[in-house]
Amino acid sequence: MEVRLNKKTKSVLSAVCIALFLIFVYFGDIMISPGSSWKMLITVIEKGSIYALVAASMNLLNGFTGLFSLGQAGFMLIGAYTYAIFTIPADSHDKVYQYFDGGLIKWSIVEILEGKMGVLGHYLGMFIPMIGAGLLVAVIAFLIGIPVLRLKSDYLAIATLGFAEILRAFFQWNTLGPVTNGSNVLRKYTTYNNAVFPVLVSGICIAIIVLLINSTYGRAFRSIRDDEIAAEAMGINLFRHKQTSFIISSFFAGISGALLAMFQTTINATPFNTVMTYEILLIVVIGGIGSITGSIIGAFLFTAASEWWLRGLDAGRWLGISASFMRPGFRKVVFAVLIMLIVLFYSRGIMGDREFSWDGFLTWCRNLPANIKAWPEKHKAKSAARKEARAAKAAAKAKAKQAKADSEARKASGEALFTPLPVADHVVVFDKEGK
Amino acid sequence: MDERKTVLKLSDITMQFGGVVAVDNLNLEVHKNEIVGLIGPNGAGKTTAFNCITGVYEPTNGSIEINGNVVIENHPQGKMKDTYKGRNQGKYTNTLTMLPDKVTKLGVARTFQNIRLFKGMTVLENVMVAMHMNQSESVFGATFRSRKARTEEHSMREEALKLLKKVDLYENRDDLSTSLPYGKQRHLEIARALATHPSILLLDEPAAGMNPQESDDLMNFIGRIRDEFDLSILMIEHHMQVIMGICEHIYVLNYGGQIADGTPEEIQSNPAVIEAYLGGDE
Repeated sequence: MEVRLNKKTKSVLSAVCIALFLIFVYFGDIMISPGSSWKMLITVIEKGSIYALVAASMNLLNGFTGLFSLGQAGFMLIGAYTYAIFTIPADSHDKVYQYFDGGLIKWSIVEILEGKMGVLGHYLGMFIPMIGAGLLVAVIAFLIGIPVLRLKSDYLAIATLGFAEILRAFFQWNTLGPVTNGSNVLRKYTTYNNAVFPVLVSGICIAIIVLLINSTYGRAFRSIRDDEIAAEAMGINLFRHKQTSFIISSFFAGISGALLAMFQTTINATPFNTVMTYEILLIVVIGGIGSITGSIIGAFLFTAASEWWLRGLDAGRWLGISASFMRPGFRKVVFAVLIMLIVLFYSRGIMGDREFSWDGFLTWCRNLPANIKAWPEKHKAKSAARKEARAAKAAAKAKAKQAKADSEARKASGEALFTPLPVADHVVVFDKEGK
Repeated sequence: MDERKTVLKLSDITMQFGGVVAVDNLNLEVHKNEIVGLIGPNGAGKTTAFNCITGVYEPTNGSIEINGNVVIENHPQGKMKDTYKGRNQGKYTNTLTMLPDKVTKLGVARTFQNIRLFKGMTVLENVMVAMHMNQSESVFGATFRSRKARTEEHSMREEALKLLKKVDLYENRDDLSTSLPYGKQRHLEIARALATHPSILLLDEPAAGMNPQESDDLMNFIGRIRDEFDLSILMIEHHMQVIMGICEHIYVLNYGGQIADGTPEEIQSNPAVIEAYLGGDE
């Protein structure tokens, strides 16, 4: 059974779902009291949407252009710092930059614009540094890309990882203290006041990534992923297209870094390390390399698991079980085991390289009861087949054993092991000269 | 000699990898609307010659002209100066290199010996990728679906569909490229090369792995596209039936060196060719 909806119904459905979700997030954030355990849901949606954006940007690179890059955390770091540095209110500078005489930049874009345009200026003041963060990251990606993108596969991963680590060390450098506050935290910068903000910004950015993937450039990226040599022979300039993909991916990583800064309210360069890159890679792999839908689902699942469902593993009590080995850090062990299991048995991830579509979703929903009903039968058939295979294997083994015993017996009795080939009655000899 | 215009000319092309001379002093000409064959035993350097023409390799010595302009030229440099084993050292002094995508833009399209289709894409998308280089919209315009991007996308799709109809793949347009049967994958690869609007088509063993019936179809197909798309074709092939059937001129390579060239009849009776293929008298 297949469901097919017309285009208009689909867009109406999508619009309604998105609107309902945004309304839910907006009022959820206002209404749910901070003490309630449901507040966690809103937190997961906030952080999940930020991770969804960075995972989608990483997927654009790894899953759609075939560039195995591990620099995402480094780019997020630049984005987060750029946003924070330009939005710390003027009178907080002395407190934040207490070791660096109040820092070098003594103004905040948000305050300047708010003073001129009111509420509109406030949001404009948040957007400008956010976009600026993205653009700065894009410029840095352009510079890094010139040497690095000539490398292939694993070497590219090593080089980008190295650059990300260098960036982290650079931002903690004491000499840059008046700007980056050295190894101290940046805080008191302007943040959003409702969870709907990161959801909306991430949503728009992901939509742009999807539009790019479905354009002619997206097709060119995918051709590079599938076969570089053939893509080049089709007139696609490899370096320019890789560079474009790298810059765009980094731009969105920068935006998500700015959003993460807002979410955390304080930032420091330390957590933007390889572990963070691997978390993002984990999301991409769980969701499916080459599927934006997968990255979104993976991001929310990962965030929910690490922030909410598996919290108990670190605290010593989870689902009513308490054990002495559930100490801080045990959650990471569970994640490590999970990724091993996924890579071994489910390497295509949740979505593989498919994307969400209303037709596919509704067909799946409609067939779900039938599939569940058919499941025991399928299981039975499978186990029967397995039993049969086992029996056949045993039979073959017994036969081989028998054959071996026979040959041994024959050898012992002195019988010839091989029957000689039949000799031809007459032999024709071909002469080279043909005589 | 041939009165038609020369579209592709290789002069003294030598390709040396370390101490191995893969292509040794190859001189080759393809005239307009001609089908030229390049044959030779395994390891004779045929595919290497293709890779030199398409810019995958930089030849060690020699020059390549496309449509009358020298686009690739090189001479032994650096360490190669001392280790160079080929001829004509010192004849060329320029260094002109070109990346494969630039060569394709000049109108030289190719197919591959082992099929290289874009696996994760449909038949239609495979062809549309080849048209990407002819569109002029920027990445921003394409992402935000500007009017220009939409018209270009539309015309690309129309043209790709038209092309697929011509090569009998219209019914398979939404199938994954790898799900096609082998013969159709070959056709798709040729269609994809045609989508770049080439004037010269390089075919690397198009009949590999085909049965006699399929090779016959392929011969007709190649002849047909030559007329329909106004092409000059240079092809590597092992099926003698195909080569002798459609080529007007044949070049024979052995151990990198050029041992003969001429019409199919001349080649068939050339003792050097027979020796290369069947082994000489002891």
